[in-house]
Amino acid sequence: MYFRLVPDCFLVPGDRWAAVYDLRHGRLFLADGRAADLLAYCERGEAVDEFPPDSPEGKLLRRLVAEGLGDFLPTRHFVERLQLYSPIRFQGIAADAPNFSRLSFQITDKCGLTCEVCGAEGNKALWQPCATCLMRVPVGDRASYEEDDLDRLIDDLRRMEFKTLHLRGGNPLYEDGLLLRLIERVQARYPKLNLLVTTPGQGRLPDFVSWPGLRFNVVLLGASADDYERVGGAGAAWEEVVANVDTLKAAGFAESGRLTVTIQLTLATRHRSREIASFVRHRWTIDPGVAEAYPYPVPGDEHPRFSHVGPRAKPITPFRDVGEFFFRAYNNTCLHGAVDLGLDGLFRPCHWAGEAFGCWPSDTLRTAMAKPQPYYYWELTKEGIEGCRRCALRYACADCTVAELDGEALRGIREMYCPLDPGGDMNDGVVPLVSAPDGYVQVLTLGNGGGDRA
Amino acid sequence: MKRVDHKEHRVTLHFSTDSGNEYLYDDASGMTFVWSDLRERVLSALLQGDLAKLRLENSPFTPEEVEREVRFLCEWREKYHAFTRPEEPYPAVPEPAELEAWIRKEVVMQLILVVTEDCNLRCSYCAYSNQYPLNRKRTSATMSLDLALRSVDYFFEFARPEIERNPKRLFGLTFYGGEPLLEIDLIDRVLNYAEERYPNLFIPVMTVNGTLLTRSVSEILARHNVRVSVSLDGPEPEHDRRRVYASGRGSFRTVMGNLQRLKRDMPHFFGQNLTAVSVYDYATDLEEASEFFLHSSGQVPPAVFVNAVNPGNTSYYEVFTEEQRKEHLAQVQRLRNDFKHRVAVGEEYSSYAQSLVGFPIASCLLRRRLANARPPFLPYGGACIPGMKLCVQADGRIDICERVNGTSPIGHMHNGGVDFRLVKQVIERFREAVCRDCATCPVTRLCGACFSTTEGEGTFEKGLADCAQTVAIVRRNLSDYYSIKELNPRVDFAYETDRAYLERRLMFL
Repeated sequence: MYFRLVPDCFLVPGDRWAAVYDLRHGRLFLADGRAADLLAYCERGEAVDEFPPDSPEGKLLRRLVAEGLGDFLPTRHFVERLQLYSPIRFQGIAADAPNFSRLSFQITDKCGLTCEVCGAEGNKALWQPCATCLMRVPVGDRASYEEDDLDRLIDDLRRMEFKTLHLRGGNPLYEDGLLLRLIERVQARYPKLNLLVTTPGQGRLPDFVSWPGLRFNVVLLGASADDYERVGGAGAAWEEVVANVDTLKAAGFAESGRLTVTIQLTLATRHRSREIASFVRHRWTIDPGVAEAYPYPVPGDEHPRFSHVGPRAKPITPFRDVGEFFFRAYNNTCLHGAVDLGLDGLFRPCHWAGEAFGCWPSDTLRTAMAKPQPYYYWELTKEGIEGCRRCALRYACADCTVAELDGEALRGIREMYCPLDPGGDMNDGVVPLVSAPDGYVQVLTLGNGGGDRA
Repeated sequence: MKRVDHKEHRVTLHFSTDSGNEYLYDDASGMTFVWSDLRERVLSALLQGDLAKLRLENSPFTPEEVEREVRFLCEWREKYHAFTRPEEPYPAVPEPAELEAWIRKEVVMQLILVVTEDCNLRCSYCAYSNQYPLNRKRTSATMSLDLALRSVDYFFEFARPEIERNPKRLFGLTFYGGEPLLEIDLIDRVLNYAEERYPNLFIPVMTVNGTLLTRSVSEILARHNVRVSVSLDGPEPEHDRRRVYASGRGSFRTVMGNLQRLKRDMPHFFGQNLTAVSVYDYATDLEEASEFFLHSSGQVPPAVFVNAVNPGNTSYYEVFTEEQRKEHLAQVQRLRNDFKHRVAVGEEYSSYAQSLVGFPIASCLLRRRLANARPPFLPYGGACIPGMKLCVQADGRIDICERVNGTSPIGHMHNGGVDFRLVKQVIERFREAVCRDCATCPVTRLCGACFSTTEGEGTFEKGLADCAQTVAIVRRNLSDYYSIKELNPRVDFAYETDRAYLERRLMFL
C-alpha cells in the first residue's frame, strides 16, 4: 500500500518541519519533524504497509485522506503536481514580454518629520515599509529633470505599458512644483497611467486633485499631536496632515477609492493601534492599512535593526487563488514588475536594493530595463534567500522579500530580522508565531523526534 | 453538480503505464489523475446525473469510498472545471486592423529570408524536389540584396510596437534555402546591415547541409554569432543513402571533414553555435543512427531535431514495403524502451534518441497551460498565428512560415508587405477546415496540427483519421512519461524542456 498527496497539495520542506499547501481548499498544514519525514517518505514512492491503521503514522495518513489531501493506492503510482497554473517560460525569441507594473520615482528627500524608523543615519537597516516607501536619506549628487526628461520618462512608461507611477520622497508634497509638472505631463502623454503619491501628509496639495488618475497614500504616524511628537518629532504636523486628508476626502478621493491611509506603527504607538484605526475609519470612512516597524538590538552595535515582523508574529497571507501560489513560487512578490528611480538618478530594483543597473540621464528607463539585472531580481524567489529557503512557510509568508535578501550574496541589500527559526521546534516556536486567519493553519504532529527516516 | 447537457463534452483520455496502472488525462483542466474503476464509475454517474442510482446499486465499494470519490471529483469540477468542455461557437476572427495591431505588438517573433532556391545537393527526400508536387521546386532563383535589406527594414517597422513595449526583445533572423550558404556574401552583407542599423535585436539562425562550411564561411558565421544547424542523418551509409551531390556521390565525408576542422580551429563556435538536424524514413536504421550520435558525442553537434521525411502530399513512401514499415515501427519501439530505461536509471543516452523519442515523451509536460492561453478565436491546435513569422521568399512573396507550400501567402514585399485581410482569411479557412471538432477533442493541449501539417493546394484539410492518430500518439507519450516517472519520480524533464533545451529547439522551428 502506498500513500500519495493529491495533485493540488504541495509538500514544502523546511529545515526541521514541513508544510502541506492545500491549494484546492486554501489551507496550510504544518507538519512537525516526524510527520514531515513520513510525508517525504510517502512522496518518494515508498510503501506504507509497515504502518498499521492504529499506529500514529497510520492515523495521521488516514486523517489526511479524510481531509481530502491524499489517497491510499494499491501500487506505486506517479502523482503529478498541479502544473497547469504555472506558465511555461520560454526564452530567447520566444520569451514573453515583461509585465511592467510600477516605477517608483523619488522626487525629493525633504520631509518635516524625523522618524527613527525612517532612514536615521547609522541604522543597521533603514526602514521604509513597503506600503509607504518613504526615504529621506541625504543623497550626494542629485539628478535633475528638465521638461524633455520628464516627457521621455513618461513616453517610456507609455510604450512599455507601465501601470503605475509611484511618487515617493521624503514628502512629495514638499516638491509641489515637480509634482505639478509631472501630473500635467502624465495627463497629456499617458492619461491611462495611475499616479500614486505616497506622503506623510504635510505640505501643499497639488491643484490637479480632480484628475481621476491621481491617487494618494497618506502615511499616518498616529492620531494626535502627541503621537506625531513622539514618533516624528513634530507634533505641529498633526493638524496639517488632518487638514490635507480632510481636503482629499471632501474632493471625493475616499469614495472613489483613490485615497488610502497606512498607519505606521512603532513601539511608541503599537498599543494605540485600534484607537488610531478607529479614528481613520470614523473621520474619513477609510479602512486603513497597517505597517509595523520594530527595533531589534544588535549585539555589539549601538544601532538597532528594524523589522516589520513583531517578536511574536509571523504574517501569513492566504492565497487569493491557485495562480497566486505559483506566482509566489516563481517570482519575487515585492520586486516583480517594479523598478525604482532614486533622487540620485540611479535605477534599482527597489530603494532597498543597493545594486543599481542604470543612471539617469545616460540611461533612460528603456535602456535600463533592457539590461538583465532587474529581471534577476524579479525572479529572485525565497528559494534564493537564506533563511527563507529553509522555512516551510516561505510561500505563505507575507514578509518583505526584498529586505530578507541575503546581504552577503547581494551587495547593498540589508538583511532583516525574522523571528522564526526554521530549524527550531515547531510546537514551541512556530505555531505561536504564525499570524493567520482562523483555521487557515492546522498542525500535523507525530512528535518532534524527526530525522528517523530522513 | 451540473449535469452535462448536449453542449458539453467529456474530454478525457484513459491511459495505462508499463506496470498496468491506470490514469486519466483531463484536457479541460490539463491534469492527470490516478484512475480506478470506482473513480470511473463515479465520474460517469456524475456526468450523467444519476449518482443516486450508483449509491443504491449493488457494488463492491463501500458508501464511504463512493462518497470520498464524489467529493474529490465534484471539487475538481467546481474548482478547476475538470473533465468536460462546453461546445461554444468561436468568437469571430478580429477585423484586419485589430489583427494587425495585436500581431505587431504581441505576436511577431521571426524574420525568415529565403535567400536562394538553389542547392548544391540533390537529396532524394528534399521538400523542393519532384517528390512534393505542391511545393516550389529547386531553381536558380536568389534573393536580391535590395529585397533582403528592405525586408529587414520592413520587419523592424512591422515589429516596432513590440520593440517599443519590450526593451529586451530579440527576434530570430533566419536564412533559408535551398542551401543558404550558396549566398554567403549576401548573408554577410545583410548581417552587417542589421547589426549596424538594429544592434542587439536579431539572433541569426540557419540550417545548412554542411558541405559549404569552409574556413572562410565559418569565420563569417562566427563573426555574426550565427546559430547553425547542420543536416546530418547519421553514419556514412545512412547519410549518403539520400544526401547526395548531383553526381550521386554522398556528402558525408565532406560534412564530417568540415565539422572536424571547425571543432579543431573554432572550438567555441562549434560547441556553442552548432546543432544537428536529422531526417529518417522506413529504411533508416534508427538504432545505428542513435549509436552514431552517442559515440560521436563531442565530435558532431547534438541532434536537436530528428524528423521523419514529410509524409504529406507526397508519394515518397510508396517505395517502401510493408515489412520495412513494420521493422521501422519495431525499431522505434525498441528505441523508446531503451530510452525509457536509460532515463529511469540515469544512464547516458544519445541526442538522437532524446530528440526522436525523448522530446515527444517530455512534450506531455509542455501541454498548454492556463497562463499560455491561445487567442480565443483560435483556441485549439498547434498553429502559430500568421505574422508570428514573416517568411520572405526569394521573389518577395510572404508566407506564414518556411514549411508551408506557398499556396496560402499572406502578402508580398512588392505590394505593401503583410496583407491582414489575407491573414484573417487564412485563419478563417484553417479554423473551418481543421478546428471544427476540437471542442470535443481530449488532447487539444497537446495537438500540433498547424498550417504546414494540414495544407493542401490553397486549402487546409484534417480528417478524423489524423485526429485519431494524434490521440494515439498522445496516449503513448503519456504512458511512456508516466512509466518513467513511476520507476524514478526524480527524473527531471521539466528543466530540460521548459528552459534550455526547448530554447535550442525553438530556434529551428
